[in-house]
Amino acid sequence: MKKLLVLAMTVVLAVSMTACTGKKKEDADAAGTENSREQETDQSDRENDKDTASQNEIEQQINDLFDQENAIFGINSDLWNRVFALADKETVSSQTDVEYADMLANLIESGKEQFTQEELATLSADVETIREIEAQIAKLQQQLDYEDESTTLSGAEGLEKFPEFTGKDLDGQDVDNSIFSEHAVTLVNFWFNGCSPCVEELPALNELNEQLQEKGCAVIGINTETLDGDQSVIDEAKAILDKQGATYRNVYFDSDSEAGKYASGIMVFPTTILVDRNGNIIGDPVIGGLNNEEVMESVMQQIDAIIANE
Amino acid sequence: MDKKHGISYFIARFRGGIQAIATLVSNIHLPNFISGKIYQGKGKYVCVPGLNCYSCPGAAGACPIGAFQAVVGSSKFRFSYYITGFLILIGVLFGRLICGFLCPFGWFQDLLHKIPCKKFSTERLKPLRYMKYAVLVIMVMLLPVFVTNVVGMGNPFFCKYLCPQGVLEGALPLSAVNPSIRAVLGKLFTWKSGILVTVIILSMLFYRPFCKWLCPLGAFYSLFNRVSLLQLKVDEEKCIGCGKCRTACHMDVDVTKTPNHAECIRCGACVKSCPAHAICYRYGFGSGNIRAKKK
Repeated sequence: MKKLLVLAMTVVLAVSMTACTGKKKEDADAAGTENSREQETDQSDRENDKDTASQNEIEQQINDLFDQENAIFGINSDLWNRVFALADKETVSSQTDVEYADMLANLIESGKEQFTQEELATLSADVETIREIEAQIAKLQQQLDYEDESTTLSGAEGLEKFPEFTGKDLDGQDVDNSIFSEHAVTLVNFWFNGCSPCVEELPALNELNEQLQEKGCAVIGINTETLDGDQSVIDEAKAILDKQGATYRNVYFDSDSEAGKYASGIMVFPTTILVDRNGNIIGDPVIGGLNNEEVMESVMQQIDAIIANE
Repeated sequence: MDKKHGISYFIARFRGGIQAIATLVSNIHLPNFISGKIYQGKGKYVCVPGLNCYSCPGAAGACPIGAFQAVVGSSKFRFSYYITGFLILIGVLFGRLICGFLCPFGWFQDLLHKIPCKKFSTERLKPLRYMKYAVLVIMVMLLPVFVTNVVGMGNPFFCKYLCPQGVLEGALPLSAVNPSIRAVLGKLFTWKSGILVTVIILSMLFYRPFCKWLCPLGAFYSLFNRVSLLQLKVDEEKCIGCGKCRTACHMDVDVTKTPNHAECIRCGACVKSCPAHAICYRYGFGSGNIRAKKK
């Protein structure tokens, strides 16, 4: 009897393992986890490449500028070697806060007796060129940092950019990603017909939409039951929106698409995400009805922050 | 010569293992506990027989009580024939065997009760057993239908305000891995966690307090014990009237008098305790004669 039980347990465990691998493929990272195995569509590939490409470009430019600096040192190499000889560990390490160009100037200053007037003039001219190059490098570095930051700010699902989609709104008009470029911030609210708190927050969302229009922002809704365009579900959704007085746009698209998988992967409703003009998802998804004061406040703060950053 | 122990004995003996397997099978999608996703595939169209939350990341099927409330609480009221039919079928096929063998929350309480501490009898608390019928009728059936919002949608009142299994299997695993959810936990979570903690403490002191006093699913199945195809039979000829079965029964059932009492969860404690092997499970139609177990 014991053997039977052990055998049964092993079988169940074995089955559960296969069930797990089966699940992994089905559950295919709808919301796009950091896992790079999500190379499902060319589109997501191209998007990732675009981001890293621009990062690489910037890094390349910075390297070019460093090369230019070294070239300057190379032109008057014996002069500069004499300057560098003046440097010792102490003086350099005590000046880590100082700009590079200033540090060079200080070095030259400390040993100016060694140099003729001519030489000093050349050195100062070089230092100024280097100062300019340093300024350019600093700007590029800032850009790099901003790119880094915007990726770390992204949502809990690790998705940086709202997946590209082409779909329709509930009145049948075509919609695609360009909808985001129309506003500084688009608040995307996910809901479905059977979700009581979602339906109850619709009036508050409509009011928010009116307020946001003045700031150049908007609310759009995505009813996850309407993905794939089931007309009866769409009619029901429209009836609910009418009843609750929600006049803002609601869109739907194929559940097979990248965006569709993202929407289908949302577990908790209502979920609201903030998307900027370029389609980047900013901040963590907001869960829960926006008819709650605290939640509404934090959302408004995030929106203002994004507008300020623009 | 009769075998010393019949199949009934072994079923009762390995109930713990069966409960463990049932809990695992009901929550088979283990990787979801780490990813924080809820399985949403085809399996979720089917109800599991026990109390197992739909929102449990690993859940393979839907909770019958949750599903019932979702259907009757929708804005287009439809009586849920499918779910009610499913529950009636299970009730007739198995009765409260589900409670005793297949319900994960029942197993949870069983395990808690094994924790050594002073145990109290619920013999004198029998009136409390009627509360679960009130929970079933009021919270599961009536409130979602009649307390609706402006669009005609009702809330799943039992799930929202009472069910501790939802906290244990749904809220806790999901909020553990999802910071967005953690951020919105509020008063309702505090209330439900309080209920879970109370049930945990009570389970250590009493045997299966939730099953006895609060569970709407157990309340529903209990209506079928007497008409179920699965019965407990006491062989009058073997019974010596020692009363050990009544003492062994944690559900306060007088086994020799009413072996198919609504409160009996078919755990088989009486089967194991009977010195004359007079009690056994019987499955099938008709009252039948008790056949001697021969090998």
